[in-house]
Amino acid sequence: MISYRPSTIYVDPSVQDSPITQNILRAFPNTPCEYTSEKPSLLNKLDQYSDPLLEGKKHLWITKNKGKLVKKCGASTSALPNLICCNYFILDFSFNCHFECVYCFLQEYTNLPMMVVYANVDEMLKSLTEVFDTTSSQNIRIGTGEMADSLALDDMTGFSQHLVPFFADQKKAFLELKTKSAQIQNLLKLNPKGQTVIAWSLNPPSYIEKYDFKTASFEERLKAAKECERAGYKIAFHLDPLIAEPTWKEDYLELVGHIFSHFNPAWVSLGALRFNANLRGIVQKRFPKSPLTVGEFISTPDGKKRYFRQLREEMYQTVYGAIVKYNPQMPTYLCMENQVVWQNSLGGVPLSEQALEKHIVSTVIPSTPEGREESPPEIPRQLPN
Amino acid sequence: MVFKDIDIAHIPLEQRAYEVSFLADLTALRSSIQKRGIVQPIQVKALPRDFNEEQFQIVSGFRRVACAQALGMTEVSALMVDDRLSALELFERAIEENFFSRGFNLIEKAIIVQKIEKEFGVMKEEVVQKYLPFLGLKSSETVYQFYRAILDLDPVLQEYSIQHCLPTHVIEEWFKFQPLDQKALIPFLHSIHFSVSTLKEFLIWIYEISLRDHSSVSDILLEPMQAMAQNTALDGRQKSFIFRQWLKNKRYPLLSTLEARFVTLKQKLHLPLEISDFFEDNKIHMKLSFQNKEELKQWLEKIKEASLKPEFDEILKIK
Repeated sequence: MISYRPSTIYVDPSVQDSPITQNILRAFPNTPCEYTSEKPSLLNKLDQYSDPLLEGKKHLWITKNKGKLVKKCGASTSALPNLICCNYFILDFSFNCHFECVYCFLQEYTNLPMMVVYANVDEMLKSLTEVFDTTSSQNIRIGTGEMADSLALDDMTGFSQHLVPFFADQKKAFLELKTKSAQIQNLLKLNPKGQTVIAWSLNPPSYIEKYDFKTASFEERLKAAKECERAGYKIAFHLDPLIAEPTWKEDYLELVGHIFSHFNPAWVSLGALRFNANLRGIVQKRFPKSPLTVGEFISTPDGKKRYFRQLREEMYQTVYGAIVKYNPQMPTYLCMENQVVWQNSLGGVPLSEQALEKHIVSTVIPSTPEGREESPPEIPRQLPN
Repeated sequence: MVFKDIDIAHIPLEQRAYEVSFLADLTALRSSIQKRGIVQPIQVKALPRDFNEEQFQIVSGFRRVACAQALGMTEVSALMVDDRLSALELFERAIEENFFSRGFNLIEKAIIVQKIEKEFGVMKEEVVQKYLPFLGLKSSETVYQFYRAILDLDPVLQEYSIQHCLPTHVIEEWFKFQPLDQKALIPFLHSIHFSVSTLKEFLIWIYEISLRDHSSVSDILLEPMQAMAQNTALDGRQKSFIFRQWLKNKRYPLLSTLEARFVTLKQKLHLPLEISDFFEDNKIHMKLSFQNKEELKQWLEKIKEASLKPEFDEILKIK
């Protein structure tokens, strides 16, 4: 894994006293630092570089997230008809990622190609409390890994030191830190009390070498996962994106075997490779020799390119079939897929968002907690014949 | 400023440092000069005398001189430029005059960018900052790279791009191909009628097939080339249609196979069935029209009859 080192740090004075800001400045005492309440002027100069995205990421902007701090996952507003949503919430504590994953959708955000850390952590925690107080669900899942990797910068920001203890005191909410990194040093010093799940995005080792540049390797991710498990964290895996390489079937079966012979995950999600039409051009420009975009993609009603449905279903059936052989009760869900694909791939459709949410957390909720319902998962387990 | 009629013989035409023409269509200009002579004098720079004879280098007006020569004229009126101007200043003057009188095509702009940097020694940063906006272009590295890359294209593709007024996003598709692959594309361009969008689709699909199958463009195109050579009766549009279908089958084999099977089954069922959104919604659509109850009854009979056939079960499976 390649750790992040900014070449310049821009600090918004409104967050200069934040512990997050202080942590970062302590981590890079010799890095040039500029205080500015405006967007860094560098943003207007990035098109002078042949790869503005790569150049932009060399610079870190510590600022305040002035938008909605906690929001529903993008899937909840997807234009895909009959999409199954899992009622996930996102806390945007950072934007962009220095890992260079060929398929990463963040490459599309060309208007802000810098690394951004939002340092108003107190407001974030306050916002989370408001969401918990106003949401009826007893199984709220909050993730920080949508617009950034949850842990890639944790050694310098120390966000986990604020979030994990905060969630440890919650009764109805879980924190999910989704990552491709091995930055777990801070986590190992904390007691999650069962309320934090560390989730690794995983692909077969050769795919990681081919498509995930600068991330932790396959072995590093699993080693970190094992250490976190030993430290009391629940572990989850996201097999997302599933990539239809010529040998995908054998590769993913081997991957599932590897995971389940070493872990008993809290949940597993599956998501076949998908991207907006614009991203294909960006990927072909930035990684011209990458075979990622040459799969059999078609346009789907939400404007995204996806593998042809029959292929997606075959991939999900294969991987899910392998998972249930190891653990028939394993909470498994599909990301950004519609009812048809769920039905054809997993053999059933969740009765509701809440049912799916409960199904996902079924292995992490305590057995007889006060105020929690006890009911069997509502996702049919059988694969179609 | 001094105006002067000068003898074309005193212009060494091999000195073309300030020229930026590419694929100039001189028909209209020649006709105008034939009718009215050279209305706008060319601009020249005095050169050291050669055996006591005056010598002039063209700064701007290469196309006017070419027309005058073709029309048998021996003299052209010229404006003598200031001796104290540097070569770069003269080039800027030439650009400015041409820019406002006729504009530049993409290749000409690329030639200008290259000359400013290579022949007049301007640093790349200054080219991006000062000269790209001077040419009406965005001051960015991406734009600079585009104009550098376009000069590395095969000359036939350069000509094709200009003759067909291709937009930059289509020209960028050429850049993905190696020189040999670029050459392999050329016979197709000349034998098939492409619209801008079908050309872009063609280039994307060919590139993606070559990347996926690790094969060269000439290997990929061998089969359709042979088929087209045998089918001489086809016109450009027919070739385009057939070729697109062939290419789609190769690029999307699963989808194409399924579509072909759907069409076969649909024909056997004699029903107006449609599949939408690339089989994404798992439904079959049927669109029928009728004028009265009798026609509706006939449809219902047809549907009932078709639903009993094994093809109906199969089409429900592949939907």
